[in-house]
Amino acid sequence: MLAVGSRLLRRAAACALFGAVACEPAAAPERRVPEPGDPLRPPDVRGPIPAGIKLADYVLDASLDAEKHTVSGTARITWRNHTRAPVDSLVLHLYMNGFRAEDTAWMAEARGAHRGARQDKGEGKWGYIDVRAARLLAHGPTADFKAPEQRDAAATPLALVEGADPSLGTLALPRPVGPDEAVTVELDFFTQLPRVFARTGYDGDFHMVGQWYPKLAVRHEGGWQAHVFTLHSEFYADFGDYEVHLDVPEDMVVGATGVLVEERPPEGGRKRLHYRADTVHDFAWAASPDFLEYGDMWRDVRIRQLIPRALAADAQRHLDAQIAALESMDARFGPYPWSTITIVHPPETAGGAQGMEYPTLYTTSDILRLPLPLRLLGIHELLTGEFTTIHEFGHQYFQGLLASDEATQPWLDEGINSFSNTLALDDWLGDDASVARIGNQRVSTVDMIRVALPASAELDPVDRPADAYRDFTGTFGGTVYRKTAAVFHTLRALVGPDKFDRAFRVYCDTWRFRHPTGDDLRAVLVRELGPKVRISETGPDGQPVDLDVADFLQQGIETTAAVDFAAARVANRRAVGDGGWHRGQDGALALIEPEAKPDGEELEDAASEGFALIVREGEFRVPVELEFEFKGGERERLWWDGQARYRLFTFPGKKLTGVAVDPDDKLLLEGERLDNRLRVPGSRQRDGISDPAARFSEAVDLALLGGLGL
Amino acid sequence: MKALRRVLRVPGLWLGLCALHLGLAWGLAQPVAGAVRTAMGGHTWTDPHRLIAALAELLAQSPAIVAVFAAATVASGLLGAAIALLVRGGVLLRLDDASDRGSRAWAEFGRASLGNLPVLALIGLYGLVLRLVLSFVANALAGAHALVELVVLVLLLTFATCAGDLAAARRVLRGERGVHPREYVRACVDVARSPRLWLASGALTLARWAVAGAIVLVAVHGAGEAWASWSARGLACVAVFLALWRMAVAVEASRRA
Repeated sequence: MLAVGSRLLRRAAACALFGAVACEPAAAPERRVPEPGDPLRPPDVRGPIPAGIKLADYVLDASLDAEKHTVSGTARITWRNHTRAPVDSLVLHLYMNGFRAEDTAWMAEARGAHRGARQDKGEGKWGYIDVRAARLLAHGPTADFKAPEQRDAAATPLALVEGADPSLGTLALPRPVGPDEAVTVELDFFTQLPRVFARTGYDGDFHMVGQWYPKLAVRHEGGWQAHVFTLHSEFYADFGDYEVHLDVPEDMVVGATGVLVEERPPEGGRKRLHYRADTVHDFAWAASPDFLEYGDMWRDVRIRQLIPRALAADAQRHLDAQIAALESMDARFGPYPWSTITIVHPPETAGGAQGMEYPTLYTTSDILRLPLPLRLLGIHELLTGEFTTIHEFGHQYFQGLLASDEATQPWLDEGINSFSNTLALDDWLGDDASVARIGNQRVSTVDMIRVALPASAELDPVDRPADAYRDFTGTFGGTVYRKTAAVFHTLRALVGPDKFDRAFRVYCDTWRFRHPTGDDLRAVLVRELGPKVRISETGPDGQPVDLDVADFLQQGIETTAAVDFAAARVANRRAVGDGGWHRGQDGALALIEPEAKPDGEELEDAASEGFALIVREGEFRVPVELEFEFKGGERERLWWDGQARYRLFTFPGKKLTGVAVDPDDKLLLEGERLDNRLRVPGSRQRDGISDPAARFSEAVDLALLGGLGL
Repeated sequence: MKALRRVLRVPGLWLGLCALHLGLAWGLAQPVAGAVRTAMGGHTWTDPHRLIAALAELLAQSPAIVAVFAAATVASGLLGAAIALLVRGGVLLRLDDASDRGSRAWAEFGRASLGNLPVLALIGLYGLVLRLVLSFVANALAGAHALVELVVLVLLLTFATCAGDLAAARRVLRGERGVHPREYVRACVDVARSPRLWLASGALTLARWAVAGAIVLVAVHGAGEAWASWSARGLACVAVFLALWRMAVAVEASRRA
């Protein structure tokens, strides 16, 4: 006991001395939970999987050379032609070739940097995939090709031809694949992982193996939807089943898409793992000998965290966020269909691998370690760790489950996912949740979105292909993530959360395990909400105020129009009286002299007329609520349809003291709100910012005078 | 405790210096308030706990506010150092002899302050050189450990402050010339030989820095709230008191030497 006490005393002393450095909580012991037997949750929980959606099945057999950071193996792909036309070639994504040379489309735009991480200059700079042989194994009714040991001796050799950009390749077939026919091909590939700076690659013993195998594009009626891999474009693929056999060094702890169905006893310092994933559209895995494993359950879903020892103390915070995300999204967007989710924590030196999603597996980011002085200032934030966890898990829905084309319409996954993340945070932490605090100040989910809007959302409309966003403009994040989220939050607030949530759930239920487009989402919303939603029965002129849903979405998604209203002027003036010459009933003019008021004397309420000028400074036309405050504290609210450039509101017989535009903060799309509240001239009410700013400045000055003076 | 009694005998001096600090800080904050008020143009913000979002928007529209704030902050630092130099002679004199001189007190205070100003400035310069040297020493002692370096540096800086106080007190109270570096070095040697002096002066210096840090903490935790302003002002007065107490320790030491 004494020894323990001494240790505690020493530790307490160390804490007192070194604060942030020495007082990090120790890592909890590892926790393992049994591997789920089935990659999917039971049918009565997850619901049905639509028939005919699995168009691309993969059997991957790969071996990791952890010294050379290479993966070599075979990919056996069975593809079914669900279109009405025969197809004479297969188009494959060779994503890793995006990192092959400076002149690939990806590298030319990135110029060696991605989300703040820079490409290494030395060894391991380049990554590539080389398809060294290709064979046609079957055409027509397929045999059982799921076991990698099965080989067809009569396979027909094929030739893969790389495209102008090496991230695409075409495999010509000896004869076309007819409608409803299937074809099975096998490719021998060799993948060199780059030192990680953009999602995939290695750092020391850590290997994040994503976009690593030849992967089929998606065939539409009009042809292959195959996108050159560019800086902002992500992925698009058909659903299918994956049987993946991995041969890795014995000491590697591996996390992968799907579930582990077999692990053979180690042999010669290596082990062989067999994973199975059902109804997914990609397969990724991570391996490191330094991972600690923390397993937990949420209902029947296994949550598995793989985390380096140095970061292990954060496991509980990420788990809390993961469970919050599951609770929220499972209830809002439909049941999570898979039985597992794996959270990979890349080591601190592999920051480029952080924050990326794959089916049933994602990488998260480190929780920022604040030094003691900053913690004393009351700084606390959820943005660096928990938010990433919620965001990356959200991609299991958008686009893991609602598998939109990320290259053509990135807003459908990143933007809708960002929208869903704030809902999840609010479900978890309460409405308008705080994601960061500094002292007595907070940054809410709404602030987080709004702050990004004015600077970045006015150059590009939301609905653009990923490769149309140029890195120079810096608008991709603000537009695709934040503005999209703001569009849907604003719509939700205008039509009412319950009504919107019901309509959005219809979209999620309709397009699970399918490939929705932006038009599909808009069509569902217009149908479910109705083309016009009644916002208020009585507008300023007595007529109702409606929201045209399609017009709102068109402005929000297809244009760069900004929502911006301003309270331009508010004041009181003399009401129109009855003074002057008027014709009486007898037809004669009669003079009425109003009672003279001495100059400077305040008008009575009845003789006054309050007026407020509200200006629509942005091009976006949307109904807006206004709140007028009168002398004596009385308040009156009404809606304006926001169609005209400005509107003058007058109140005969009443004195206005102030006006507020959008008092309940419903228009999240409005990035500039400081001009939304205005008091009458001469009002004693402070502006709400200058005093706090002066007090803070004075305190800082006092600290400096006290610290440096005398 | 003799040193503390010296401070308690001159409440007017303490209050006067407090008023000077509070007035300067308030005055320097007014341009910041004015710049924000102008930028707001009569509009208002109603959520006192979401000022970060409001400021993000405001500063994006009016970046000059940042310059005004930075200018006020730099000015307060410079003024703090200037006041310390300007009034040091008079403060040491009053701490040495607190007897009531009526109207003559202000004249003597001014003479002691201004008359010793050039030499005290020179002693201040020696102090800067010593601090520079000590920062290298701290770096050498601590090796690669930044936190250890910080702790060592803070301790060594309290030494420089104590030596400067002692050299200044000897100049003002004992009439030493104080011009030659040798006299400053002698003060350093005396402080090194007298750990109790260094301990007392160092503890008061650290306490004053802690109070300055507390002002920042209060300002952040109560950003924009009246209680935080009054707490900051109160803490600033405590910081002034601690500074006077530290100088009184040097006055006591100069009488013993």
